[in-house]
Amino acid sequence: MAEVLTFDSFRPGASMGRATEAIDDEILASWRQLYPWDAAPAGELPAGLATVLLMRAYMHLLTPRPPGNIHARQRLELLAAIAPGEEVTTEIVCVGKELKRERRYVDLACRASGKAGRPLFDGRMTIIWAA
Amino acid sequence: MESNLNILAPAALQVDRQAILAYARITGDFNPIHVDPEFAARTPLGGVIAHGTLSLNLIWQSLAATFGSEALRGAAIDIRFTKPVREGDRVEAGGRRSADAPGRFDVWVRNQDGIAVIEGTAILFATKESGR
Repeated sequence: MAEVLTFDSFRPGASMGRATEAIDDEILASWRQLYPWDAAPAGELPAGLATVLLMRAYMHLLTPRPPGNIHARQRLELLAAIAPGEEVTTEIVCVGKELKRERRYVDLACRASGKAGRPLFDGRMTIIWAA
Repeated sequence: MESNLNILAPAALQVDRQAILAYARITGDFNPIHVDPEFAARTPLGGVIAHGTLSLNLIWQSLAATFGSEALRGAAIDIRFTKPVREGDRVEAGGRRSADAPGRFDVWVRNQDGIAVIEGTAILFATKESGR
């Protein structure tokens, strides 16, 4: 079993890896049940599913995590609409970490691309790391 | 639902246990702070909190309801999760045009007590009135 990813193990500048995934029919159906008003044009996913892809990549790549991490800040730029079923590759890079008022802040940059490498979204998230 | 091009249309969600668990399945995020009441009770937060992005999604929906989904291409947000969202809260996203820069909006998500749980900015480069 892999060791838990702790604050000390983060190396700013280091890639945490890439994850490739598509929003499948099951996830989309769950989304529509949760947010039934969130319609998107035919052939496009609602914008919020970019965040879902980011979070799923984070879950996949940064593991095992200590329990109790807290999402503190999110920046996200949507570069293109994502198609249902489109395979999206998201890379996450540690771009910084800081101990501030006894809290451990980890900054992660992400960049996602889709079919034929077309850019889909860029983002940055700050997580208060639990251990 | 009242909106114009300076005020974003509201988007609201009742954050009950079912919604939190559904979102955990959607994101694959089963952090015990969200899904394990006993664990969450032992943390400084004192209980279960909802995933921050469960509420953040409402800001995208508010922007899309106001300007249309096509306006979100090239859009950017920068937000902070300022307060926890508790099970049982009702949250509502909104925003208003900022005087600081064209296409920029101050955005938020507030709970049933009017307390901001998310605050930040959104930038749209293709709002209807600009014709871009």
